Amino acid sequence: MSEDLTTISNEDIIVLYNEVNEYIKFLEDEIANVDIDGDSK
Amino acid sequence: MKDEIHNTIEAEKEVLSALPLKTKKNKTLYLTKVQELKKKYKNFLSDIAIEIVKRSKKIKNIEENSEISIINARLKELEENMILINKNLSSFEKMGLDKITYGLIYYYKENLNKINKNILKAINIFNNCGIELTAAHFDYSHYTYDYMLVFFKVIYDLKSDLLRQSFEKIFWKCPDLIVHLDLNIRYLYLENKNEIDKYFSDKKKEFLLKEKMSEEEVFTEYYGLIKTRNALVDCDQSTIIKSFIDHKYSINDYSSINVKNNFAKLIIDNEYYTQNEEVTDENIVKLEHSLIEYQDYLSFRYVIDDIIKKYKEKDTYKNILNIKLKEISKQEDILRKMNLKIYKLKSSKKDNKKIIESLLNETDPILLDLKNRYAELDVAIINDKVYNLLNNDSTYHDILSVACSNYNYLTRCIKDHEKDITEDDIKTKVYKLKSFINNPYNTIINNININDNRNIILTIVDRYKLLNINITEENLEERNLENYIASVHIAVMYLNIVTSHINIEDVDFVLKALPII
Repeated sequence: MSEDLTTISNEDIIVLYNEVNEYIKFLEDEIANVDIDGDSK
Repeated sequence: MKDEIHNTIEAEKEVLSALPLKTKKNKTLYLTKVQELKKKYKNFLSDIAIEIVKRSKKIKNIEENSEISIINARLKELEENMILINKNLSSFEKMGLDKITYGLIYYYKENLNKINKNILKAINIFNNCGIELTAAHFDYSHYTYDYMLVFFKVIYDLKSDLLRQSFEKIFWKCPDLIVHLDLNIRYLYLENKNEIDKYFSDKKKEFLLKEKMSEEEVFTEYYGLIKTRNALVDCDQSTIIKSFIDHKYSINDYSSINVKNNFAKLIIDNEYYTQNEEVTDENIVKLEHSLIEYQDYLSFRYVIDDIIKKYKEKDTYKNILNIKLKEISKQEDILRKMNLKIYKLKSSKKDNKKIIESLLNETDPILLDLKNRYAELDVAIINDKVYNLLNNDSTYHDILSVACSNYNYLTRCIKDHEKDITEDDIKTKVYKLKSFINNPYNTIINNININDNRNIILTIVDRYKLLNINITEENLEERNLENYIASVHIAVMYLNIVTSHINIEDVDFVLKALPII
């Protein structure tokens, strides 16, 4: 995934950073919301 | 690549949403998958951040044009010596004693440490002029002498308890101690004036000889260098980027649509502009200089008015300064004779306490009288400058230069105009006035004579309308001026950005990268 980073434009790399960051937050929320022993939240 | 990643993320989200979460096994598998993705994207995010840091560093680390610091060093060197060739300054002002004596009276009752620092500063300045002061020189009153005896003992530790205790002890006997010290310093200057004048005259010759320049040439170099330095700073890539990072400017103002709209508002005939872009751009820069000069003029108009009021009465000032100086000298002779008498009685072995007390009481009204006379002398000094330095050909620039030459007058004038102003704000105003006077782009104040009643607003408006610039008298009204200057400044800043060859997208990237790095 990282191989092409040098070719991406300044504008796109910021957009990419924000999108990946948001996705990580989404994944973290998913982890927090799964209750292994109980009902799924 | 950006789109690819976006699609991958969306696809992964869809896969995740389709995964079953009913059983514990389902949930464990789901969590494992999510954890894997999180790890993968955390690594990726870190790689992106590294790339962003690398790119923004490349832009942010652009160094300031090295010529700027070279010019600044030369300007500093010249500035340190400019007082030597300033014809408006007396040697009292060249020594900075006007500021020191003002400081003594201001900090009176407020800050003993600052008072002592001011006294030490005065001692050092006299020393620089070849006059080495000791406690014996501070014999204006017995109180000044007693205090300065301790002062010289602890001169390297002015915060010492001994000095503080001495101050407190004397203060209860003589609450006017600081006033006496102030008068003593002024007296020492007058006593040594010839020697001090010679010191500054020699220093001036030495400076001009070293520079191999005439006074005129020094001024020409000085103002020329300010212009060159400012032009370099205005178009310096590093300075421009820093201004955006420090939020001095907003990047939105420089989007192509906003720049276009701003120029359209500023220009009367856009077709003419297209054909004469370079000249019009130069005129926009000149307009900004004129507007700033006009704004500064409005800030200090009351100073100009005050000096003009004095100028109208100038014939009454003839010889007043000399008369005041002679009167002071006469009173000081009387005071010194009485002081000598008291010293002798003090040194005698007999018990002269009562006679001494009585003589000390007799000196009090003389000291009070001298305090008033020195206050009158301050007024006479500025009036004498008006009398000798200004004439019908003098300009507003000359007027402000005279006002600026005497700290005592200027601060009084500022305080009369703004009753509740703080000392820090006074300092800022004095600094602003000096910068205004030294502004090399002034064209208004150095072309208006003392008796000229022209309408400055109309002059500016007429001048720039002729140059295809959209400007109205309303724009220059005090309530609108700041906004108009701001819009002209955006245009000037845009021109600077173009000249600097900075890519505005790069600046935008750095600003967006800031929260990441």
